[in-house]
Amino acid sequence: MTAGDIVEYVVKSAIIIVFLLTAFAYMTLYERKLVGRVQVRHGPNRVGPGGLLQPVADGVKLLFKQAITPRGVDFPLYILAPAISVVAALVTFAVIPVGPGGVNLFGYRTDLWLADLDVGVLFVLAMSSLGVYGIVLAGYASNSKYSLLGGLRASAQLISYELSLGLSLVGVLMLTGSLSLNDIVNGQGGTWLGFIPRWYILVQPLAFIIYAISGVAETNRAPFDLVEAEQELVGGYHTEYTGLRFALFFMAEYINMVTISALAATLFLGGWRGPFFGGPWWLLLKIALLLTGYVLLRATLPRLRYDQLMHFGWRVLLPLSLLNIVITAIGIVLLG
Amino acid sequence: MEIAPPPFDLGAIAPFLIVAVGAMIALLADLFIPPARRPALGYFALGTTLVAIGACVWLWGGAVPRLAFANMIAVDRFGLFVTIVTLIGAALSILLSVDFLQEQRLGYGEYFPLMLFTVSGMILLAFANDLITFFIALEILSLGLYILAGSARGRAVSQESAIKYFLLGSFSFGFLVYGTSLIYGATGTTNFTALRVALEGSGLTDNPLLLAGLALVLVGFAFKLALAPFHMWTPDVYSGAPTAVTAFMSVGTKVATFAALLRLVTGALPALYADWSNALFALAIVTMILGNLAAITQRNIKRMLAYSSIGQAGYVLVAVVASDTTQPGVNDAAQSSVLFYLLAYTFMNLGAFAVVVALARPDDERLDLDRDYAGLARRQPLLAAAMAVFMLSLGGIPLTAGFMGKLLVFRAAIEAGYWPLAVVGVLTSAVALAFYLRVVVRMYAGESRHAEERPARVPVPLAVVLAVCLVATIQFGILPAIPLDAARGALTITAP
Amino acid sequence: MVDNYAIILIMILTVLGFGALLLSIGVLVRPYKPTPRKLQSYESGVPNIEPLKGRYTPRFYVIAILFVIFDIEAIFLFPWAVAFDQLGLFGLVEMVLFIVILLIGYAYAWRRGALEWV
Repeated sequence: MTAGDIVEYVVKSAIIIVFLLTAFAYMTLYERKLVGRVQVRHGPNRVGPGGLLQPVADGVKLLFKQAITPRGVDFPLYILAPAISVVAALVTFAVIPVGPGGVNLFGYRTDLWLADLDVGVLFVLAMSSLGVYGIVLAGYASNSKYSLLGGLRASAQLISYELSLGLSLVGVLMLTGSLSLNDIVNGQGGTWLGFIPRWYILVQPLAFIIYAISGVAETNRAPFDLVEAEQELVGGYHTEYTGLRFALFFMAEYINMVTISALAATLFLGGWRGPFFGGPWWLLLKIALLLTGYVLLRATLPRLRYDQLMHFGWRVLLPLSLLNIVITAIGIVLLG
Repeated sequence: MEIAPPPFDLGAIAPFLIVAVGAMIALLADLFIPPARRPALGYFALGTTLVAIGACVWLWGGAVPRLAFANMIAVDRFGLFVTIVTLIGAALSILLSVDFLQEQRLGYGEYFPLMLFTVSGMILLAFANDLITFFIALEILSLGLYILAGSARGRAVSQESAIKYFLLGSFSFGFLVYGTSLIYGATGTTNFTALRVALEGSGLTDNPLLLAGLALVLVGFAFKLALAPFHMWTPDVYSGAPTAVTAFMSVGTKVATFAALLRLVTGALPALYADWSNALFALAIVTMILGNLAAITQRNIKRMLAYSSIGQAGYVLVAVVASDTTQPGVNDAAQSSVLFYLLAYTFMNLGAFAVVVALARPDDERLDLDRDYAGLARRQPLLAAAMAVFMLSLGGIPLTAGFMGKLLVFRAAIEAGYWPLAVVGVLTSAVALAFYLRVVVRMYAGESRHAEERPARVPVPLAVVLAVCLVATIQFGILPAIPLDAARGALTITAP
Repeated sequence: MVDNYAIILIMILTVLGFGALLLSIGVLVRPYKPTPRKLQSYESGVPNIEPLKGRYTPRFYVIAILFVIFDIEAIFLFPWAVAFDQLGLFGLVEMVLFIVILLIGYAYAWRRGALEWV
């Protein structure tokens, strides 16, 4: 690995980080606008034209907020927790291919992905598991009842839905025969009958549904946002966090939404592949559509009760995902 | 990348499969049948063990020895003999438990499935031909026993017993796994067959990694077999666990683990004979002395039997030490005496515990030698007579199975040139008579404290257990030919 | 392929650098005026009544154990899925057996109430 390579990878990483942070910032605005529309309001529209500078204002505000560290916190862990959440969320994106390899970009030949791990799917799952630590540690280190309960609830919810999330991917892996996300995208190239794209969602509809639901739960979004159920838990695991530290948790949540959507697009919707124009644009479009789905879910559905949430995860999604695996296996054996 | 499915020979592990599947069926059945019908599960478990014994007999006559599952499992008559002994012990323990559970209100359905899972671990242990298989088998066996030991959930001693067993058991697994990894590091294999080949005529026998690994593995074994000085957990665990569970774990675990030990040291490590026989020699002497001396001071019958089982393990170990594969005739005598002793021990120890179960009712608390056993002969002459036979057999009085076992063991030791072991064995046996006979004396000469009570009726399954153990103990003492021939026929520890 | 993990490491370092930059800017510009009240743990606006004891329902513990069991199952399924096209019917039968054994445990946990959340 030469110095030039290292510069290339740093630049690529920086691009991903900036992209994700921008996506995070404007996702908050998009969400507020869209929810506003659903509720027949305008949403934020005072800062900048049509409210476009609202995220910048929010960011500056958070930057100037006091960082209050309550007495009795376990300080090293207290600081580590948001950092783990954010790092895990950002790094996950490293293995998602945003376009074909070997592209000429400004006279420089490069691949449109950061790293092509041959165990990419495992890496993604491992990173999302790491994210749980951030939440548990935040709940534990805060020395607050609400934080502790919120952290425990969050981790129980995350690990419950992580199971069905992981198991829903097994069907796709069986079709591809590889854990590399690049191979998975390439496996979805071409069409059936000349016009139907060979996306895995068409052969794995059940897996996609399970993945989508688990993905919403994994990111603690409505209707599974019990972690931040204000009425019972105040702020959940980040009750005791203020200013930028609080913003980091928020950032992790939104970046996770983007990553989960990108992964859904990669695994089930053909990744960056699509007709007319290929590469990153299709991926962006798919991510945007999935994120819109996220927001619409939040705008329309009430929050589940905690027992309903756990029952749904353990008694419905888990058996369904196992069923999906068995059906897929039988199908592959029967059809060759 | 081509992946070839390994050949698999389900017939070879039929006893294991039968017991494991039976355990799972029992577990499921327990979820759906009403509590009043749960004793039926006991008879189902009993049936499972009997079918498994049938499978063993079928394999005995069939194509053995054979290696299966990539040499991880060796199915030979040695393993089958041990399996049959284990299964008999399990079947008797299950019979012992049926009424015991109801009386103690321990009728939680996990009991019999756990027992079957434990038995499946024991069977796998008897067949294990790889340190990995061996470790997994020991895990299966132990996990079930940890829970069984704590199955009297309402009683603090039972919980204490479970926790102690769990902590020390896990600790000993640490030794085993670490030793396994060292052996693997030194030789590049964990397979018994491959180990034997790798060590023969190689310069590896002085390898410090290998010797350290062997030492750690032996420590792990010593914990599991409750050999002194690694026996500290035994009295508390045995006396705290529900008596039926104690009976089960005192026989099955010992039998299967001794089999695995014998298979490891003679089947895989004959090249290291000088090292392991010295280590086990020391362990055997300490175990015989400590176990038997400590038993003298016990007033609680279960604690006394716990120390007695430590002493008995010492005698078996004597025969293991004598199993020098370089001397064919001696080796055969030693190994067959191990098998015979384990068989005899199963019957006499289970019989003794069956009497304890019968007398400890209704609350599993009547265990005091002075208070509860004094004058037993007048209240319950039959039970007292049975107990006397089992005590005499454990003590090694002629015309009992225990005597034959000791005779064979000591003879093998002398033939192999280990006369110090035989001398210590005989001396400690004499000491042991003190506490075994004390029970007999109390029963026949003591003043009964419960004289006004009507003698407890012995339930039929318990009576069956007592009868079987009694017959076997006397039969094997007078006419040891049948089991001894079988034991001699079972000497083929599968070699490459 | 080793390079790919080095790239991940570079990414992590870049992320950390980015985060450090962000947080240090925050330290430079934000005010800090603590008061005793401000430093209390949140308790819905009233003074703290009792310290946090850190006890919580054992259900979380049960869920964690179940998670470990099924997560390991998932880990076993991954390599199986990747090699499935080469294993064919053999792979199918083996895995169905594996899943059935786990489902027995699952049924047990369900019936015994380990999945109840009240």
